Amino acid sequence: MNRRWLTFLLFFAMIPAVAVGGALIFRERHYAWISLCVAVLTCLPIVYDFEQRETGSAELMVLSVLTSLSVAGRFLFAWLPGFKPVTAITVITAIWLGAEPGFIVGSLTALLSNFYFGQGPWTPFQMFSWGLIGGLAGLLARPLRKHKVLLCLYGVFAGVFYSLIMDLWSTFWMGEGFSLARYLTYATAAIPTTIEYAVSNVIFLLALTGPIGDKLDRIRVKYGLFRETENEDPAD
Amino acid sequence: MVVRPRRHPLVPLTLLLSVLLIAMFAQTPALTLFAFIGATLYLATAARSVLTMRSVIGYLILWVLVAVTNPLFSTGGATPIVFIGGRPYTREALLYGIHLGGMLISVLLWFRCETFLVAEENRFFLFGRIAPKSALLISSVLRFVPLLRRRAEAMRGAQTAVGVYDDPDWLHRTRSTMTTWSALTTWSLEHAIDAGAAMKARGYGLPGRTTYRTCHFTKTDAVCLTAILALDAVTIAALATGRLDISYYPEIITARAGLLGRCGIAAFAVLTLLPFFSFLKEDLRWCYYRSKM
Repeated sequence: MNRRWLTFLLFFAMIPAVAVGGALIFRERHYAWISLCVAVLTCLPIVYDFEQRETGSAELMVLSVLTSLSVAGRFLFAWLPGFKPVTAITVITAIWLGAEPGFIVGSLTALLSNFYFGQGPWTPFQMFSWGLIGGLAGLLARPLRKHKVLLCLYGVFAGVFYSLIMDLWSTFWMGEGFSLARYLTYATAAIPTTIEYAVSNVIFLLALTGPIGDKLDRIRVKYGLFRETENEDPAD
Repeated sequence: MVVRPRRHPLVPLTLLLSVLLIAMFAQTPALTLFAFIGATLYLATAARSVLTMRSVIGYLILWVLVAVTNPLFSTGGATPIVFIGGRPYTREALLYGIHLGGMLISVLLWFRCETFLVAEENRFFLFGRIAPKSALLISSVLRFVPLLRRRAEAMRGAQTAVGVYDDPDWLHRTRSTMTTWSALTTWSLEHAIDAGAAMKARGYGLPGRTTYRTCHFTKTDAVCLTAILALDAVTIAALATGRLDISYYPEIITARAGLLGRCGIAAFAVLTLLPFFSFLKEDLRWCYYRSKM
């Protein structure tokens, strides 16, 4: 077993340890504490791995441009809450450049756009959910690239997933403990927003996958970037 | 004018993190109250512009909303006020709701304090030493976002001037936005490759490079940091031994605080008021210097 896997295991062993330790101190609020621990400690090993591996300066700049595009997209559509290209750009990054870049772009967008839209205890949850949406898309890169239908389905899934995670946040933070009735109430109240997320994800994915995907593929092949994270030939 | 304490960023960050964690998760009304008072005093003095009437009203609405809805979901209390649809709306649950709302508001207020406690140029300083690549990503994104907006505006302006895409039709405008977006992507990705090459040419990533530092860890910083950690330790000890416990259901029962409990509350009070007092000190010094001129 190499060092990289050992570090991953260490981080994942830390999740229950920190969660249980904190729950013993903060008895009544253990749901909120454990969920925060899971959100933060899931992001840590991926950031750690990203820091450890060789990343060229051009790759770093490409990632920061993609993150900026998605932050700027959150601005561009600020007047329409919920209608954001963030998920689409994260997913497109993930399927063309790999799971880890997808995770990084997704979670950094959450962190950085909140410097403009307001930081709060929700930031780790947004980082977690957008990061996971990106990471998962990277693992499913091959089918998502080939079939537009699957891409649309993934957009719908991402919208629902994001909404459900954020409802979980509201349940833990705006109420005591975990109450299923409260969670269902929040989830039901959020159905219009969830539909809006899903629809906007599908629209943006369909509109952007061609232009941005082609460009990412072009610079990847032309400059030989992201060879480590993505080995397969996109032509197949 | 915002006066920032000239401490190493580690000091305000430790303070912020410890107050936030305790305020978020400790279940003690006294601690919540001090977190709220500390943040409000600091924001009202150091950052007068932040607490506008609108934001205060927003926070109050959120507070009332959390407080009022809590008894609808939990019926644990023993003293019903009214019955709604056969379910008791209890006094204990309402009080708990008020506490929860206060907790949420004070955490949100402390997040607002962050902007003023930690100077922008130092925000990622610590981060840059632990995770240099992420820090570089973050700082370059913060630089790219305004740049991208300017580029998008320039492109839109050019298109309008040439007379393309001036159709007020909704579909047409959306399509023109998409075209601008696509061009922006190309432009920015090309720029990213150039920037990457320029960084490489200047030796990015080579060993033996030094970084520009604006902050140095002084003895005063060490004293401040130790004091903050000691205060944390007292509060956490009081929390961990259950001296500050409160249970709301079926009736409100508070644990006997004892000496340790009272010390814990006092330590947290000092912790939350530190930013306010340090601002007051700087402000007084500023007024004193000015009056001598």
